[in-house]
Amino acid sequence: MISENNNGLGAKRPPHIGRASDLEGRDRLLYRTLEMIPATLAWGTIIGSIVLSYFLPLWMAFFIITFDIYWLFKTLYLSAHLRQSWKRMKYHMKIDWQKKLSDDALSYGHLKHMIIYPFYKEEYEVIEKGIKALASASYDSKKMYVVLAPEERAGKQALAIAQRLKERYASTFGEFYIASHPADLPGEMPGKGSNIAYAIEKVRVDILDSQKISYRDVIVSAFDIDTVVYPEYFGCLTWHFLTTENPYRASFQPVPLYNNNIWEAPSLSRVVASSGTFWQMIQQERPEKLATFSSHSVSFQTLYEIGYWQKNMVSEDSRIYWNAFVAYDGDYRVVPLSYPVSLDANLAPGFWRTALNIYKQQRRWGWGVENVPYVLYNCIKNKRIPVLDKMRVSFTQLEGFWSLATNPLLIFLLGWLPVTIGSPQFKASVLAFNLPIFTRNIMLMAMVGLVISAIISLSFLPPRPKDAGRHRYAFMFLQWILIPFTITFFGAFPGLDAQTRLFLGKYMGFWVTPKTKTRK
Amino acid sequence: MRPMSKTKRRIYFVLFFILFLLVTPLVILYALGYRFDFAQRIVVTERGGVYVYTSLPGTNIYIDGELKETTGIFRREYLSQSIRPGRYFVRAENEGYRSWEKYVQVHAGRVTSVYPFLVPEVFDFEAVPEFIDIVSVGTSTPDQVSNPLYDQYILLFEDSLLVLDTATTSLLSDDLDVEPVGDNDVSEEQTLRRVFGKIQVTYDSLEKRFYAESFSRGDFLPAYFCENEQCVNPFAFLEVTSNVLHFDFYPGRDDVIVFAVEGGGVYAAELDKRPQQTVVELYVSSQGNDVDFRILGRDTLVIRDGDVILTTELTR
Repeated sequence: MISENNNGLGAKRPPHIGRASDLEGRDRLLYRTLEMIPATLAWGTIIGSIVLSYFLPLWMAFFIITFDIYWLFKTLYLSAHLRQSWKRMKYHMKIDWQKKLSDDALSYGHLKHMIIYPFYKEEYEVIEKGIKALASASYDSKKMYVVLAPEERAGKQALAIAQRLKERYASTFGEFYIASHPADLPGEMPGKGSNIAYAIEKVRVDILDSQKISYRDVIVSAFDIDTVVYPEYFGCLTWHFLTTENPYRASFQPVPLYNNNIWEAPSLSRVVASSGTFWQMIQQERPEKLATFSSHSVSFQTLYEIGYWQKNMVSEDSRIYWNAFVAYDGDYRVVPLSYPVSLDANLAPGFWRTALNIYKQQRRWGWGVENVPYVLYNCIKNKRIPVLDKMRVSFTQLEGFWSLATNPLLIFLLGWLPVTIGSPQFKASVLAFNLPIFTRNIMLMAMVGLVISAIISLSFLPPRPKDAGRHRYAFMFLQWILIPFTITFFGAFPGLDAQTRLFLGKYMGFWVTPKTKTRK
Repeated sequence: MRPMSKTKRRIYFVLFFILFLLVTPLVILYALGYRFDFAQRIVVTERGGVYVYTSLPGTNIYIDGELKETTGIFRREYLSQSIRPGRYFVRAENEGYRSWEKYVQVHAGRVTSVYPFLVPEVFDFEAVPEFIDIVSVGTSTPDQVSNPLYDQYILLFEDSLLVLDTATTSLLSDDLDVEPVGDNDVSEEQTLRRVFGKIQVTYDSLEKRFYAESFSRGDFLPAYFCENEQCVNPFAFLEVTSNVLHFDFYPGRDDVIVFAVEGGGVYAAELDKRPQQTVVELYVSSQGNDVDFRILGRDTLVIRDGDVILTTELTR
């Protein structure tokens, strides 16, 4: 018996719906309809703006001004959260969490950390960087169970890399397990979700059950392969796990910093990556809006009860949160750690290749919109979720994806439409002359948020490599001027692309962001 | 350290929400042209605006005699969007150019746009010789041969006012549609129409008058179609005493025409007849010849004075 509180595998398993075709009859029709909502809202806004600009430019101008002001205050409001998150993260990074655990008389010797690294064709050096960081973390490495999960479809090379790492690091950790994920298992979509779901069940049987380890004592960290932990990550995670009320109804979310190769990545990549970091930092201050993203941690017990990650969809990192939210009838949350992990910013040979990879990565993240029909569907079907929670999560999801796909376009492109295609009468009005001036001025005022972003991004930079001149700091600051461009071309467009695909039923597969070796 | 407290977040939210509710209607009213006016008893009045654009850097723009702006390479415009409705005197000056001035009416909530027509005080005409010298190999004296450029220019003038066809239009200007047409009440031989964008100019050879007509969407008319709130479309903007030999739009402008009249002159005239309507002489024959012209490409004015061909570049 593992634990008297353990239910069976998947005892609370929510429906693992990947797409409408996983359902039958009216449910299928309902889910398909819900899949079409995000793109309908986004395209409705864009087309509506164009039509309104032509036929009723005056009303469109009112809308644009109202929206500009809303956007300005939203920027200021979010900047306040970002600043607070920054202070909290700096504070957390200074804490000796091991000492804090002792000072707070928290018993944690019974806890094990299972760290899963799924990978495909990444190189040895990329994977080793993360393992090395685990080994040098300020936490008892014997309490860490490292799980390498290579994809069988990646060929013998991936397995050979895993074996090589095991030979080198097996003695460092409590366990070092390799779970090679077979190709083409029935009901699976190739990707991270199916891989780690397979790996974790193997580990359960081969290690946890065989060593009679309580599932409640295991904290699973599902990491992207390029995740490099900061020294106190596990101390911080353990402290939060032990001090959170009912930690089995919570996921634990670090802040993803894309620092591994930040000095080598082009400015475009840096800005896009840092923007993602800032969004996560803002959300850390608004935990009720936070869903798990990228690398995160959660109790094994919880994963076991809800049947692990979905194997039939792309965005398993955020879906696992929604799975738990549905499984526990809304009684589930994300605990923000305000402590970073470091990952790779997009870096490919050549600017255009990098730009293309950024676009594809952003589109994959934008494909998180596949959670919208899932959330809405379960809010409709699950009567036990409190109504207010249903309204909150539904609005947050819809507003979030609508904003991603439309707000940059409204600010930077559609705002000029009434002046361009409006009637000559409108073009001769004082309002028409003022509209571009107001939009420009409001954008300039919103630059305050950018300056804060620039300062914060500088404060998290890893040490400057010797071959990078001091002037690079200036570029790291000035790069933020690219924001209007990046949030349009690497935010709105890939977001709209993903939503349109979902609308049309052209479902995306898992695209593995290429990781390249960087300087050691 | 815990995340920002709910109370603090709520305060931020309420604060920004209240600011949003307060600021938005004020900004919209401001953008519409409403201003606080404590000088008058009315607290809020609706204002209008004047917009002046010129592509010439270094132009001084005056409103009612007060210098408001000197244009530069990047800033080529002046916008005042908070002036009281009424009549204003706009003047534009640039060294080496004839000054331009206009009385404009400013209406509440509307911006009156003007585009000063600044013409050089002196045009620098360049003669195109009919013959050119060519020195053949082995000879010391040059041979005189026809200048192909001259011949090419002469060809431009083979069409006359009344027989313009589509073949000649491509030689005249990229921006213009030219078509000989006849209105219901005027015969084909008596009118010539030229269209630039939404503006059409027609010359009636019987009345010796030019008419301007706007085809803008939604019955919109440029301000110069209106006087004292009365708008007329089409309207006659110029009457000439001699027969017009040819006319065309001034390069890049839909509010200025260039025309040649019998008796030896080429002139430019604004369609905008509000005072002061600019009508300027571009060229007059010293020989008393009939002078004709064509506009070539984007901004070349080609003059034919008898057998003499002259060219100059017109500022856009």
